[in-house]
Amino acid sequence: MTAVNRSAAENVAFRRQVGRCFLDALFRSQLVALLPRLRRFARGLTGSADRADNLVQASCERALARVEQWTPGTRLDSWMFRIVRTIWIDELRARAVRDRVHEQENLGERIFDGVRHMEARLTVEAVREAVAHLSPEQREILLLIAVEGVSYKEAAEIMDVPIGTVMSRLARARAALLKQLERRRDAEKVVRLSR
Amino acid sequence: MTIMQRPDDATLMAYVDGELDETDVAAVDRAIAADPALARQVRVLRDTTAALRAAFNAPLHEPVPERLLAPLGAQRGRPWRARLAARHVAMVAALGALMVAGTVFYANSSYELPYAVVARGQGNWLNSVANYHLLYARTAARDERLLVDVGPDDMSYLEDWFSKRLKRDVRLPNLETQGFQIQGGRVMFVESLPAAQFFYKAANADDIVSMTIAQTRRPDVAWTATKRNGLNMIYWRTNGYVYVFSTTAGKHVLHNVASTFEEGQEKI
Repeated sequence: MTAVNRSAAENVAFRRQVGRCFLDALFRSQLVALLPRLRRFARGLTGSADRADNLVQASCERALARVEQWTPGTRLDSWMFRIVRTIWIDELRARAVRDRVHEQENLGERIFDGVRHMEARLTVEAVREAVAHLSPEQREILLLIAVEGVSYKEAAEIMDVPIGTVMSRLARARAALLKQLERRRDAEKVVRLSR
Repeated sequence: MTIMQRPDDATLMAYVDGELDETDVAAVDRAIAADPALARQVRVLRDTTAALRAAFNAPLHEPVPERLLAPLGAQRGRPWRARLAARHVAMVAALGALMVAGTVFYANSSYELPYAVVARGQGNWLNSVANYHLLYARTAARDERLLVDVGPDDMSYLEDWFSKRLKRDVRLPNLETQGFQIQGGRVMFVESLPAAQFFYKAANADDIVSMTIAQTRRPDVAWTATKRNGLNMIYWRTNGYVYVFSTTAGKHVLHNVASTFEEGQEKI
C-alpha cells in the first residue's frame, strides 16, 4: 500500500517535472523570439546599445527565475516589458537620476501648443536626440504606444497606472517630443543662417 | 466616447493610435475632411509616430548577441529570407485568371457582404479592403481555398506569381512565431489598380490576418492605424504602393505582424 502510494506520488512528481520542462522550453523559445523587441524597447529606454543589452540580460535572468509566474497563453511581451521597465526604474532610482514629473490628470492636454509647423522631414537622428531629452516616463510611454504598438489598456497594465494616466502621459510626451523637434529645427536654421 | 464638432488633441491622438471605435473614427474622418488644420495635426502625429518607429527599429535588424541567446539555450538563426525560403518547399500551380475568377465569384456568390461594397467618403478603398477580408473570413469557415488564387504550398511560387502581377518584388513575412500560417493569396483591385491580398490564419483560433499590397496613385502616407467594420487595420503608402494589414485579432497582433513585414521589406 505504501509502495502504491509512493508510486502515485512519484508519478505526480514526474508529471510535474515534465510539465515544468515543457513550460520552460516553451517559455525559452518565446523569449528568444521576443529578444529583438526587448532590445528595441530597452535601447529606447536607455539610449545606449550596451546598457540596453545589459538590461535585457538582467530581465531575461529575472524572467527565467520567475518562469512559474508566467501563465502560458497570456502575453509574454507585456510581462517582459513590465520586467524590463521595473529593472530600469530600479537602476534609475539607484543612480538617483530619475526625473520627477508632476502628473496632472488632464486629458485636455494641448499637444500642438507652440508647434508651428512640423512639415519638414523628420530625420532618425533628430528623433532619437529629441527622445533622449524626454523624461524616462515620457520615453517609456512613447516607446510602448508608438514603437511597440501596445494599446492604452495594455500600457496601463504594464506601467501599473490608470488608463487616464497613460493618455495624459502620452499627450505630454508627444507635446514634449514635438517641442524638442521644433527646437532642433530652429537651431538648424540658426546654424545655417550664421554660416 | 462622443466626438464633438471639432475633436480635441486627446481624441486626435487616440485616432492616430487606433484607439477609437468605428463611429468615432468616422466622425474624426469627417472633421478632418472639413478642416485642413486638423488634417495637418493628424499628419504631424502620424509622421512623428512613424519617425519614432523608424528611429528605434535598428535592433530588429541586428543579430541578437550570443550573450543574450546562450542563457536561453538558443543560437543565432539564419536571416529572415533564408528562414522563409527553407520553411516552404513544395509547389502548387496557379489557378487561372484572377480578375475573372473574382468577378465570377461575386456574380455567383451566395454570401452576403457585411455592408455595401461601394461606400462614400475618402476611405472607400480601405472599406473595400476590409470587405474583401471579411468575405474571405466568412468563406474560410466553409472552405478556405474557395477565395484563394494561389495556395500556401509553395511560398516562392506564391511570391513570384504575385511579384509578376504587381510588377514588384513581393516577399511574404513568416508569421509562424506569432502563431499565424499563410493560407494563400488572391489578386484583387483597389481603386482600379492591381492588388494582392494574402491571408494568414491563427493556428489555435479563428483569427485571420490579411495583408494587402496595392498599386496606388495617392501620395505617401505614414503608418496609420484605424478601424473598419470591426477590423483593426494598419496601412501606409510609399513609392506608389499601399500596404494594408487587417485583423479581427487585437491591435498588438496587427502591429507585430505589420512590423515583421516592414522589417522584411527593409532587408530586400
